[in-house]
Amino acid sequence: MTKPSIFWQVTMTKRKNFLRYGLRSAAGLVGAAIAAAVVGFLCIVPLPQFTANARSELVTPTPTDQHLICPGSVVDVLSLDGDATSFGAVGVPEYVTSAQDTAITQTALSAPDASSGDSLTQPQQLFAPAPTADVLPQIAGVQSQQVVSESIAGLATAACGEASTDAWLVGGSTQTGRTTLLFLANPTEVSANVTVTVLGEKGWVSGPGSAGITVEPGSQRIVSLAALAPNVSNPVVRVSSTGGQVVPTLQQSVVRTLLPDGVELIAQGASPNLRLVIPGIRLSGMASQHASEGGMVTSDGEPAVRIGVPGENDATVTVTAYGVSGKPVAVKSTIAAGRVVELPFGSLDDGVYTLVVTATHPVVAAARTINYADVDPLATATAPPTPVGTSTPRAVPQSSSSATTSPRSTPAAQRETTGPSRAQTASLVDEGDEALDGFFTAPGQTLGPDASASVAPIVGGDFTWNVATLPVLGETLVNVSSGPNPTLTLFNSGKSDVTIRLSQDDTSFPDVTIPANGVRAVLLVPGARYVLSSEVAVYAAVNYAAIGLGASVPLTPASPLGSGIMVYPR
Amino acid sequence: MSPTVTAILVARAGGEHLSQTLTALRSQTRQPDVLVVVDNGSRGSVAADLRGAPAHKLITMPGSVPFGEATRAAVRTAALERGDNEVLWLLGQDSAPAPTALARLLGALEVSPSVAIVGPKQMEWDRPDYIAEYGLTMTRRGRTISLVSEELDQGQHDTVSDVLAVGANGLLIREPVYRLLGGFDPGFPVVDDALDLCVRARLAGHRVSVVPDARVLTAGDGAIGPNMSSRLRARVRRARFTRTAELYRGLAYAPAFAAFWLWWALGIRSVSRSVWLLLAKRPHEVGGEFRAALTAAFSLPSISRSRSQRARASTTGWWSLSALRMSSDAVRRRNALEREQARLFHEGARRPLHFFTSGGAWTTIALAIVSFVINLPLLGAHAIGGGALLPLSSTVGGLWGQVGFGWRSLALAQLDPADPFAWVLALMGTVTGWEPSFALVLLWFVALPLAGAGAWVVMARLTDRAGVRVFAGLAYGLAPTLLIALHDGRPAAVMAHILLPWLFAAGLRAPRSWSASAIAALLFAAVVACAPSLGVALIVVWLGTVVLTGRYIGRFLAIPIPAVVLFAPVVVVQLFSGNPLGMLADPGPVVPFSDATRWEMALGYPTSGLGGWLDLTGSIDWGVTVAAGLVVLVLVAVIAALAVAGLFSAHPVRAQLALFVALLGLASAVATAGLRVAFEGQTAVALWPGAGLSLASLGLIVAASTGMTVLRRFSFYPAIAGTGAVVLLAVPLVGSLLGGTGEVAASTGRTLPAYVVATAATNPRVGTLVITPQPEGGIAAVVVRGQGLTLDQSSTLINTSVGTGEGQQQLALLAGDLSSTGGAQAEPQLRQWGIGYILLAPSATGDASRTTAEAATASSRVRSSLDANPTLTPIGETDVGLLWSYPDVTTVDVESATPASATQPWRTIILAAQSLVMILTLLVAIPTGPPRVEGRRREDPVEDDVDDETIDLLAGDDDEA
Repeated sequence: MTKPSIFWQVTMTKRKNFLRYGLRSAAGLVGAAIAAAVVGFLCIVPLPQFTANARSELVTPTPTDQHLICPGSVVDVLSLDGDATSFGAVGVPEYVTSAQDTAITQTALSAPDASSGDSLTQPQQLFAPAPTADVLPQIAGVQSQQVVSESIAGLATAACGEASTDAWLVGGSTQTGRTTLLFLANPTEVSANVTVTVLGEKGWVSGPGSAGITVEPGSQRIVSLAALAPNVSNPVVRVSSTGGQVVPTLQQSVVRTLLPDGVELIAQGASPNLRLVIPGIRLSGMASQHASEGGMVTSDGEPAVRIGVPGENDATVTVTAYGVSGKPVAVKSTIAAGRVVELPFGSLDDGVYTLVVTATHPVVAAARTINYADVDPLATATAPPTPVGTSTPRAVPQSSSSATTSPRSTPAAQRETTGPSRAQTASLVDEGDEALDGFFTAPGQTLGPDASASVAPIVGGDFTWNVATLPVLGETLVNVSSGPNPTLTLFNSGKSDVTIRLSQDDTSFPDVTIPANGVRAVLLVPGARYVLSSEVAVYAAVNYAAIGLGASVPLTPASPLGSGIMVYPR
Repeated sequence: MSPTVTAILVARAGGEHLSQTLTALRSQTRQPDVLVVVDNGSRGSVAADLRGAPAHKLITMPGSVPFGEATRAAVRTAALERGDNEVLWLLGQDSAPAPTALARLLGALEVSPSVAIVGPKQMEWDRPDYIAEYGLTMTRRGRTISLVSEELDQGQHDTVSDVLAVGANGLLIREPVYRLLGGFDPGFPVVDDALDLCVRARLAGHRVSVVPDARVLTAGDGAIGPNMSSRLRARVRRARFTRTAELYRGLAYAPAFAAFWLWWALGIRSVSRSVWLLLAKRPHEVGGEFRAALTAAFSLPSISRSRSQRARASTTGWWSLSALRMSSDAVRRRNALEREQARLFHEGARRPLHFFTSGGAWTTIALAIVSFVINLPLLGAHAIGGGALLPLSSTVGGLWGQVGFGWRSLALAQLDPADPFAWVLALMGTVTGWEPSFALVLLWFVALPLAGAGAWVVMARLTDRAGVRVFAGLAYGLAPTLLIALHDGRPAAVMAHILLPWLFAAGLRAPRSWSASAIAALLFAAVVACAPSLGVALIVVWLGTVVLTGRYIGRFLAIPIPAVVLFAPVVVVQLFSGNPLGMLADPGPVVPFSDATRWEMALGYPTSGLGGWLDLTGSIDWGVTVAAGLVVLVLVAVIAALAVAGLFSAHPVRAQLALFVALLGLASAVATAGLRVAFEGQTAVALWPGAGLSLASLGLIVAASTGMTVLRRFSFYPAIAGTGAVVLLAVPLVGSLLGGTGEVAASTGRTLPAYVVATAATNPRVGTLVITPQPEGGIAAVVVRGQGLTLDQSSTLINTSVGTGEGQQQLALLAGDLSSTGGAQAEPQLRQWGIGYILLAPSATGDASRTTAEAATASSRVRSSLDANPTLTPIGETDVGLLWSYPDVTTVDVESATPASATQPWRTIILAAQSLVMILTLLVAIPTGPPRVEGRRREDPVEDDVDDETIDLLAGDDDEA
């Protein structure tokens, strides 16, 4: 190999190479530019898309018999000797029922576990036969009872519910001084085999006898939750049945330092879900809560949100409180899998709220509010004379709250006056004065046998369990018991305004418009029966409150089994 | 005494050949006594050229007639003296005889009176020193064999004299013998006319010999014998004429009873010979084969005439010819030589891949190890489930029963055209015939190595550099789209990814062999069957190839045919049902996935999350997310930069085409991701963009590999960089597969509860109504029959259908009734459809924690309602949902619900057409060594490769090291 020869070759081919490489480079640059442009085009420019619509059929089922079960009277434990626990009914509840396009037959279920004389103390079955016409009839009922005894006192209200195979109840406690009983009513014609599992603050509790509880057809059993899960302060109860279906109800009563401090009937709430809505929470006496700040719920004498995570994944939970005015307040927390915790309401002021619980994994939740014996809840929540939402009521509650705060040992006579007074209701109602007119003229409805006028003095306070509920749509029957200050709280979880209408018999009241994520409260007349109409699904609950008294009854959708269902056949 | 020579010149066309022939005739040392020229051209086109011919007689035939007939006409008009001493000399327009030819032939005839026919040594027109033909013979089985062809004349055959027959060109025959034999048999219009004449002459006791020093040129114009052009059309015609003559001779020569059986067997023989022709890569002769059989079958009168003509003239038996026929040993030897020659001819096109010495084996082994490790949880599984994986039918028969047209147990026993994917599954399932579902387990294990090996082979066809080849193999084997398809359990996408490089490898070889072309056709069909949405992009690639190919266009034109035939029924049904986009739907069950954004797709990921890079950190921190995205971007950019470098390499066109394919793949992915045509319950699910990304990856990898060669000898370093990038990219995905977080898991091979499967064993058509709560509160309802849905039974027609038929309405009513109080009305319907079970499946989204509130509500509603239904018996929780049974189930013949008569003809037609095309393609695809060299090879084999260099842009060969 000699240098000159190589050099010679190079010079000869140099010109040709230069041309070739030049061309190749130019083509390469153009190619690279085109490639980059195409990739950019594909990444940025919106291309036509196509989404086909799945075929679907809306199937409206043929209407059938309807059964609703009201749990019956509050019971007290008579004797506690091992298995042979016996219960006795305390007082007689009143029942307010209504039916649309059908007639109700009310019968009593047998309640072998509880001794009583009156058939009205037994669980009541509301029955409406299958209609012949092609209409979807509705029935609804609510029971209410104000109890005063040595061990039980307070207001207990419950809606009459449908039987189901799987129910979640959030509430109760089996700590010392708390009595939590589980009513299991089986309205069906086959015996139900019920399994009760309890999720507590320390995880799942498996007590003896929690499986294989047999509930005979047409009867009600009462099980003490303490026997299944003793010493659980935050239980969440799951009731699943095979064979027949049951209507489960929890009865919790609290005795604090030998004085009864409230009673509550807790109905089943929404199943474990990523999003739960608890409407109609009335907070009162929050000022004293703020004082005992700490971010922890230390006793069941404080309002709290109880959240259980039944799954196998830790859930990050956000609790957002929507008030009738002001900005929503959110609290975020992580709850371990298989645990139940209670979260405090934090810095919320007194008032009516709706809680929305969202979670990364399914949770169950309910809110406990306390009706102190020394705080008038209506004074705070309803004091602003101006319509809610048009002024800034923030500052007002504080002053009015302090004005009406009474000492804990309020005389009974004074308590009596806190019943429904027209003057107070006027300021309660949402959407201005004109919205109230209808209510004033509405005639009072029949009261139950146990009218509020005959209520005995209450020594302690009361508490209320507000359960998570499903939205109602279309026409829903609203029955109001004779409890104090019935207030319908509505929550619109949608993204646009919703207009709802209340009507009574043939009278229609003015429309109420609920803004997106807004809460509206409407004062109702005790013992009245209404029909709530809404084109869009809204969450609603009827709340009862007075000094040392409280109860909440959620509105549940009318028989989901009878409603239309969208089917996607393939 | 010298005989009178009547020369008969049959001309079909004028021109140079004719004038040279006439000139040659004029310069004969022994002039023919009479020259009869037959103008056998159509419409006298030869007339002008014949004007100056020294002809004694000029006959104009009414259009082209066979040579034998033209001769007969000439003999008739020549008004011969009918003396014993008269001879006929047969010539064509292209039979220029050497000056001494006639003299030598006459001499041969004179010296041996027993010789009745003599033939000259036929030389090639273009190469006069090459022998074109010199005597003919037959094999024992009756095939015509030219004793010599295409050989340089070195006097090596001059010792031969007695032959069985000679060609018609320049043939000299004694006129009495000609008369005795009745001239040429009209049964042989083109081929074997002279052979037949000579055979009959021999049977009549005469001899036939060749004269070595009498030379006649022949151009093979077709005036005598077939046109010997090497053009495909001519070859096809020649093959047909040859075969017709062969069959005709068989019938004409055989003893009567044998001829009868031969005639009956014509059909079956042509079928079996067609198969052989396909195997021999001569598909163009198949048509001729059948025409030949038909011609032979319908020439019975002509055959009997031939037989009696021969019998009349014969004085001796066939035994007298046996010595002159070619022995089977000689035939074998001859065939072996031919093969050898063909192999030599094709050797230039073959490039050994050096699989073992150039990294192929290592790539495959490395990927196999990775594959083995990530699939360890599946080890020992008989079936796998999860994602879009379902078991296959339990028997091979069941699998093939779904091919073409099948019962869709999914719908209300509907008879529908099958997805082409059923073919793929049937083939796969047959491999593991003892347990078809195991084929999917196997697929999961071999996916990585097979895909990698495919890409390695593609690159091996393009470059010699081991490093670059290994990069291509590893990069494609670890492509994110493949790993995600494995992770998410998408068998069709995995198959498409594996097959794609093999399709391109076969396509690169297609210009050189029919076998590769047919393999490419099969792979094309398979890929499109696995990923119909990729069809559009592949058609574009195919069109581009056809445009760029030029000379071997024929071998590319046929490639989409099997795919077209497989898809035709589905396409037609979708078009008629007004859902044309439905034909693009992915086969198999519809499974939702998290849609990737465009830029994620551009980075090669079909689902969101960048293949685990975003989850890798386990953090929801914004900064970390951006960092992970940047890492992926940089790693992909390494490959992309190499691909762009390819544009500046020595093979810019290859890089351009590869990049074009890559962009096409990306465009295909982006477009398909925007099409939501298949339904899972109420959800319209987008098409899987992974298949398009497989194409994009392949294109990008080829381009990047090309870019690596920029550094020539040092291409090893970019190969290392590229390999490092792809390996790093794959780490999170491999890790998540290792960690067993993928959707795929060993399954029991059933999709329904064991309870139902047990019942189905005795009542294979028992129906199960599967109700699945939907995210918005509705329910999806399907009826599954027997042991449950299998992958081969799923149908895109059902998955994409949008119209609501009567059956669907009834199904909706049934499901709605059962989900509401008062489901008792459902009983007659349950009975009618033979539904024995009702399964409440978990909510559509699968993951229980993602169940929406509405779905949970719907679920509890259905459950309550079914529990309350007195006609149903709750069975309880099973591994796939809650089960109820309807104890009064009857065995219903659901198939009778749809009258088979309505669909039976279509079923037969579809199955027959698809099977035929598949079998034919398969026969051509089976490699059977180099094809026979056809026609007169005028071009040098070396030129072929030179042409390829310019034609086959993608297959530019070397690296100019």
